[in-house]
Amino acid sequence: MAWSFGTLAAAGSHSALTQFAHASLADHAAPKHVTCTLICEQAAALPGSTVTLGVDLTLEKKWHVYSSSRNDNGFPPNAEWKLPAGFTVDALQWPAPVRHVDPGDLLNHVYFDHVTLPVTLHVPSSAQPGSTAVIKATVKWLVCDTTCVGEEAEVEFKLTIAKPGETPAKSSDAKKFDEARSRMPIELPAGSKDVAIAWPTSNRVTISVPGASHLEFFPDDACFPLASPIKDPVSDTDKLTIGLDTPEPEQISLLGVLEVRGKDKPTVWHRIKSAPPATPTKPAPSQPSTPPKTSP
Amino acid sequence: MKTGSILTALVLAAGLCFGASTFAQPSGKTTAAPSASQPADKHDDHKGHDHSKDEKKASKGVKVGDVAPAFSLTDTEGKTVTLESFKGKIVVIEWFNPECPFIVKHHSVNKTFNDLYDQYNSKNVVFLAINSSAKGKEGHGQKVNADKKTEYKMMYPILLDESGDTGHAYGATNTPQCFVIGTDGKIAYMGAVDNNTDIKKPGDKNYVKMAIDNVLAGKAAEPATTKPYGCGVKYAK
Repeated sequence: MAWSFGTLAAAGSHSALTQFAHASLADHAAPKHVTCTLICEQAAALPGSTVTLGVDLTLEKKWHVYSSSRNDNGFPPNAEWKLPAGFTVDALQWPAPVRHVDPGDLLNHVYFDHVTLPVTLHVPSSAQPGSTAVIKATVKWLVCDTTCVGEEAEVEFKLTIAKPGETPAKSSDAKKFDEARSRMPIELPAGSKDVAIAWPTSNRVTISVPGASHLEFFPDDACFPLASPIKDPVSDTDKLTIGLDTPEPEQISLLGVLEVRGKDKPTVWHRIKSAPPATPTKPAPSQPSTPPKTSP
Repeated sequence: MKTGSILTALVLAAGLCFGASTFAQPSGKTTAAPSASQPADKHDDHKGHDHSKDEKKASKGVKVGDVAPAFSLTDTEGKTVTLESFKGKIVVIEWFNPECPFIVKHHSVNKTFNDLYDQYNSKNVVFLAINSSAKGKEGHGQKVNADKKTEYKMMYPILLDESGDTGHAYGATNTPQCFVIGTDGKIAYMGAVDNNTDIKKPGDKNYVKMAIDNVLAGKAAEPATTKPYGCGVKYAK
């Protein structure tokens, strides 16, 4: 069975990485609008350690792929891993996307141009120093501009297993991981004063970020539905008010990513997880022991 | 949710008992449906969360239990088709764009819709495809749709909605996105065709089939709402 090679990405000194379409993998079209490679932050990995791999997607101009945030259309890229014995990977990590509204008020959270999706690889302690571990994945994605195309690629990375005592150097792709991390949402520490979240009513939340000049909220798939998903999650002030569309306040939760832009500060992204404070249960009125007096 | 299910079942049963067709009256253009008097039940076992509420806009879109918005649209052969003409039947509407890979999944790679048609066509069930692609957008035009109807061996009409009015009235966001309208003229199911968002592999649950079976049995669709998946509808605005 013939393999047709597509893009051959630049290989690091300790690795070789390829994207190719397999004749029998006709589930999706061969990649045309996206170049997909598997990259590694380090040039080698020690047995028993973890190393960060990245599913690296470079897109044709104007085309986009989907993030893991809530989307009206499409689906986020997914990877099916084929790992050597003893190796495991965690879930893909998702840098902050951008909001994208198509005609018809179709709201999606997407990536344009380029994105690296980091993923932690666990190297078993049994990995043989000096050997090469071939990490493979089948990556599928939907890429859209004015049309949508489903594409997939089989990618691989040849990971050198370092010898004990060696300190693996950063790879030539390390900057891509720095870029991805710079857009990774940060968990808000408990009691943080950077972001104030208030619930004026049980289905309305106000997010205040002193010093911000622009705020955007990207709801997760599990976030409660927003009453005005196009209008509410964007503000050119330091305050964002979001209405939630529900008559069932006990189910409400606001889950997602908050983008904070400041005039003199770099943009940051916070992970938001909030729910309205529980309404104190009113004690049931005690049953009067004697019938209340009635006016004559 | 049980209470809601019972309410929906009662609403559907009432519609069946009275035999009343309550399609909103066509007025030459699609009109937004009035809200149903009973609260719509919501079910979603797709991802454990009902996203249909997200699609509800101030004046756009329907929810389960609403009267299906009327429409009068032209098919690829130039024939005018109205929802009103299917009074008393179960109507399955599939939002359609022949170029969308998810439409290809269900019309070419798999025969999802043709199989449904074959199974239910003789059981008082009508199938319609509606294409809301605007002029100049992917999937627009009489010829491309007529050609694909032939290629896909579709036995039911593709209605052209280039203004997007019908799409907006229903709140269609995806192709494909399905609406099952009960014999009472109300939305019984809205959402995905099935439970597999893969671009080629079909799911092991066909929500449209489940909805039709339930409606034919005089029951409420279960689930009544799922999150649709696919390409964005190519609206003009």
